[in-house]
Amino acid sequence: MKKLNILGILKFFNVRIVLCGWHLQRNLVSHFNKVKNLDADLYQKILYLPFVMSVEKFNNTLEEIKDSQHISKKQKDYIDLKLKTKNMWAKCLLKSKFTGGVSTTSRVECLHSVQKRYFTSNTNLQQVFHGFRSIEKTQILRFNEEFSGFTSDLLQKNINSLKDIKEKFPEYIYTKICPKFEKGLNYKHESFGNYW
Amino acid sequence: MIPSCQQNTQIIVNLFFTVNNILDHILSYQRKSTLTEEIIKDVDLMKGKIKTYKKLTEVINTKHKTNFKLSQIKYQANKLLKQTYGNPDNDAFLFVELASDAAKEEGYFFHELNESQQLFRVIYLSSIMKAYSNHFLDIVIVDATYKRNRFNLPLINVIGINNLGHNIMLAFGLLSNETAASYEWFFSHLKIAWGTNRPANFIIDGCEEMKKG
Repeated sequence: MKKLNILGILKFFNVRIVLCGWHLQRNLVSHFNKVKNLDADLYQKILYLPFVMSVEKFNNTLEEIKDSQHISKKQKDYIDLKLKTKNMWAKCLLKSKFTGGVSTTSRVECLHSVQKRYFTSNTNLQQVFHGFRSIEKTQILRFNEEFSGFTSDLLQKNINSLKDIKEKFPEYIYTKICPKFEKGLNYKHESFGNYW
Repeated sequence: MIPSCQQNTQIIVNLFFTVNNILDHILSYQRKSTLTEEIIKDVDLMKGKIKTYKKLTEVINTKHKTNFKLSQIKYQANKLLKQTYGNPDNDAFLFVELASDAAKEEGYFFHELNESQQLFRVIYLSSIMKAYSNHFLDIVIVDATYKRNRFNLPLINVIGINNLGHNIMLAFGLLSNETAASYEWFFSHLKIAWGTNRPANFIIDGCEEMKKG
């Protein structure tokens, strides 16, 4: 856990902090590497712990870890230490909250790979600044290109999805999808009653 | 007769060793003195790619079959660095000038110097980054990289996601060390720069190395 960073953020912002699942998995690999040869199934379960979707499964694997003979006391203590901040990294506990579908820092790693083209360990501080500016410019150019792709003709085009499905796919798919479409289109809201 | 013959052989052996030593010394001296243009070019190319000077000397000695000392290669690499990028103090000064000029209109720039008047911490938000912060602060991802500049200062990237799902840069900073105080300094200035806009989610890595620092 990046304790220093978390405390620094919480001091100034009232926000929800999410810890990167991938980094946590890497830490688990380094701590539970010996379990791989002793109990391969349990090892896989431990690695998958940050990404488990149901709470039951999460608790079951934790119980398995506690009962297992192959796991040392030091490793169990490490798991307990991690569980203190489980609200920050366990996907089963985070899924009900809005995080934009992001639970890892892979997007920053993506930017790092872009920055590699501009900066090396030899670059000047001025070059770093110019590099950031050029990255920003290319980003804006790409956004503009994407917007220019959406013409007004494309939006005005009449789209008849059911008709397209009938023409392109076999009848079986059409018969399966048609009632669902009808149900979706004829959906009625519940009446509010005489509230006003 | 036998002892005199032994004496002769001893003299010849001694002579052989002394001549050999002198030849070795002359050859090694010649090797050290010849710093050709090819070698200087190789030093210029490899100085940023190879991590330590020790490895750099090893690579150059094996490639050109020479016997350079570490100090010689280090001196050459530093000389080339100064030639290409100028004095480090001057570079930092120019960087501060550039960034402060760029942030004058709508951006945000703040830097701090240490006791010996060296560049200690920097935070920069361009006008576009500031405009993004008015709308896209739902998800903020923070991470640091190393070895992205000449001084090996940790570079902190702050990233957001816009309405189209693209990555957008929200801020960047250079810290001299990754301590609690420097992080606090960075986030305090980030708060000032964002003004009334408040983020909803912060995503950070759970790296254990950071905990030790």
